[in-house]
Amino acid sequence: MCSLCGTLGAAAHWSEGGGDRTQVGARRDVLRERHRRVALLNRVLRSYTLSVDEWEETAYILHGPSGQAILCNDLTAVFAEVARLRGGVALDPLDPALLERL
Amino acid sequence: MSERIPLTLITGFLGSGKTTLLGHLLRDPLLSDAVVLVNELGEVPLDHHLLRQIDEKTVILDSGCVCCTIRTDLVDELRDLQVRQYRGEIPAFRRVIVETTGLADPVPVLGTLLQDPLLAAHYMADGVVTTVDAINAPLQARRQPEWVKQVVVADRIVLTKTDLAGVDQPLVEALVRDRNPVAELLVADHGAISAAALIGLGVLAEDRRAEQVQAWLTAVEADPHDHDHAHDEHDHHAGVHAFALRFEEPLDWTMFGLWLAMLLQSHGEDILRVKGLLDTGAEGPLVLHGVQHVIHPPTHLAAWPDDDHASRIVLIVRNIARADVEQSLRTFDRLAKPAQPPKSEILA
Repeated sequence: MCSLCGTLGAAAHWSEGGGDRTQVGARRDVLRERHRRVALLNRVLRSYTLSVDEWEETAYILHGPSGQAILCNDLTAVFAEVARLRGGVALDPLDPALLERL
Repeated sequence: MSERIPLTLITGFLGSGKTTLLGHLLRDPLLSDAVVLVNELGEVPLDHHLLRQIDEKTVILDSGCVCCTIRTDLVDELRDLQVRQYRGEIPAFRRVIVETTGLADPVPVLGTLLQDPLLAAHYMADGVVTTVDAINAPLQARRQPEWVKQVVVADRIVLTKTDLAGVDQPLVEALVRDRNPVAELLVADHGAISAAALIGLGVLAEDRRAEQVQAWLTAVEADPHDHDHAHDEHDHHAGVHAFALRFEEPLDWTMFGLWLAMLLQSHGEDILRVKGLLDTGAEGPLVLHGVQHVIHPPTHLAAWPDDDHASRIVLIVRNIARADVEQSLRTFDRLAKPAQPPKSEILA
């Protein structure tokens, strides 16, 4: 799956294929990882007045600063929508100001 | 899933000898059961019983990202081949060779194989072979971004026309190595080269993934160039460079995925390739492989290939400093781990 568009839905997002489980399938592990991903994501997003919720084990809901709720298939879609909400400016993990805040 | 059919991509700039090379390869028995898809039937006659012409047709998605360009011609052709083979209308084939046009970006071909569910189930990228015209390489390296992309994504680079007068082969090799220190560099003798050196590379084969990463690490560590420069003072390779990162402590995979997705969103055009063995706390390493925005589903190996269990990641990037990437990943990874109590509390 292209990691920039992320909305084609052809396969699970690459980021959901890792983890410390060697056998894919343990549903509770998948769920635990999804919720943990949301928690970590929110630690990054909070200084931008953005937040994310898990949605039905299949997607994420991105909440914008003006009350927007945007359904995103995966992490790539989340960051694409974050960039859209910020007028086309993507969140940059190399940004020293962001790293300082973290 | 049944064994997937390996697909070799042959690319290279205009006039770099792709078709001549292909003509030689097709005489090798190794390719007797291959389907060959070419974009243009040029002046060099190709003789093969399963040679088919396709016209590069692409659909660019709304994002405008070139990696998201779907090669619909390839999707249609590869699907049709599966159906016709199933019906017995064509002989069974065991590999596919795709030759791109000289100005093509090879990344969408790799992305298309992952994006289409049927193609992902039946085909797997075997490797990218790029021909480089030794006469024109110095000029093309400066002026043609397509040339740079074709060289960077290559798993094997074949230098052609090295026998012509005026070729400065050491210079051409340095130009290529600057941009891609991980591909094996080969020289074609009038287009002739052993098919075994280019076909059956298995860059994504499960049993060869660790070996591939180790080959990359060896190549990057052996490269004498300064790997920690974000900008090239002489602008002779537009800031493309490779470096390796090493992490002794296990990386948090959930955070790593978040970090990489974010990095690809903000710098994806400049993250040209990534390969790595990650210690995520499991018994064996997680193998990572990506070309620009196209990240292959990571796989866990049952065991480490050797005694070195540190996470090692090789990146080929453009205008991005190694120190910035390393500091960023360390910061994000630390965020995912519980804070350590102060030493005074431990001592108490």
